[in-house]
Amino acid sequence: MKTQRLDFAEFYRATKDECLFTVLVSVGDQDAAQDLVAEAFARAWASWRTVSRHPAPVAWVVRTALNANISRWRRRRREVPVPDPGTVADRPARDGEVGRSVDPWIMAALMRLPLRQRQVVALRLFLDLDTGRTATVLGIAPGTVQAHLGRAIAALREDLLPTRQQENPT
Amino acid sequence: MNDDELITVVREQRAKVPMDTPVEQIISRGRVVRARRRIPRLVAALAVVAGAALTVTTLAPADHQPGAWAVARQPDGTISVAISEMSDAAGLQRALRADGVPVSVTFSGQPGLSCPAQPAHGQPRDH
Repeated sequence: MKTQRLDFAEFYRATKDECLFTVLVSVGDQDAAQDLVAEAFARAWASWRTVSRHPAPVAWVVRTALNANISRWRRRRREVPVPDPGTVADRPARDGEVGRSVDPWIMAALMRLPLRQRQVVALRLFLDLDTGRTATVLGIAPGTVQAHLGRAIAALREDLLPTRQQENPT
Repeated sequence: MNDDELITVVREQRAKVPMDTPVEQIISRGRVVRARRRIPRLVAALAVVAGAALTVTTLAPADHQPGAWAVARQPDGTISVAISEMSDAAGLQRALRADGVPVSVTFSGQPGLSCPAQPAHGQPRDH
């Protein structure tokens, strides 16, 4: 039991931030994302014997969180409001986190992507899943994953590069 | 800035929104989740035990010597009888008749049982 707890604690410490950001980019609300990820990790702990043998436990956690978000949305029977991305970027940094707040331009550009493209970006870039695993998590074809990722990067380039070139004219 | 540099800059954002829920709180919630999962399993196990106890009580009369014989209804509707000791013929007969089998049970060397007519199934047969 002690070994099980240590393994889980290490897994949690190593992956919690990227799981949170992945879910945050999908649901668009930091408090909701934090609740969903916490619940998904709790379910992972409850089934740790199975989850720890999963080929990609971090994908299991994110999939569980996203499913819980769908269930939550169905219970409420209305769209979960997507807040202004600035509400994430403008949160005050906590002690020792000066300079670690999210870039508001990047967050806004991510949130302007269609949901599926956002999910693909989150799984491929923030969770470092390969194309096949991303396709499995989202229930789509690998070719569709690549198409969404290509379109998303093109949109981000178009959205962000002029801004960043203005910031760094050299 | 090329695509690789763009991807690097976007990727850097993932470390800037820390998940601050303590692991102890996650595990505490996990214990609740696990306990809730166990309740349906416990109820199912109790139902199986209760069902088994009911079956034994129904098929075995009070004076039945445990292990002498066993009567069991099969899923296809047939009734199987396993006899390991030729005793308590009257109990076996009652058990079978209670299950709708109009039989008269005797064991060799033991006095036969009376064989009253079975109203629903005609004349009882010797087995």
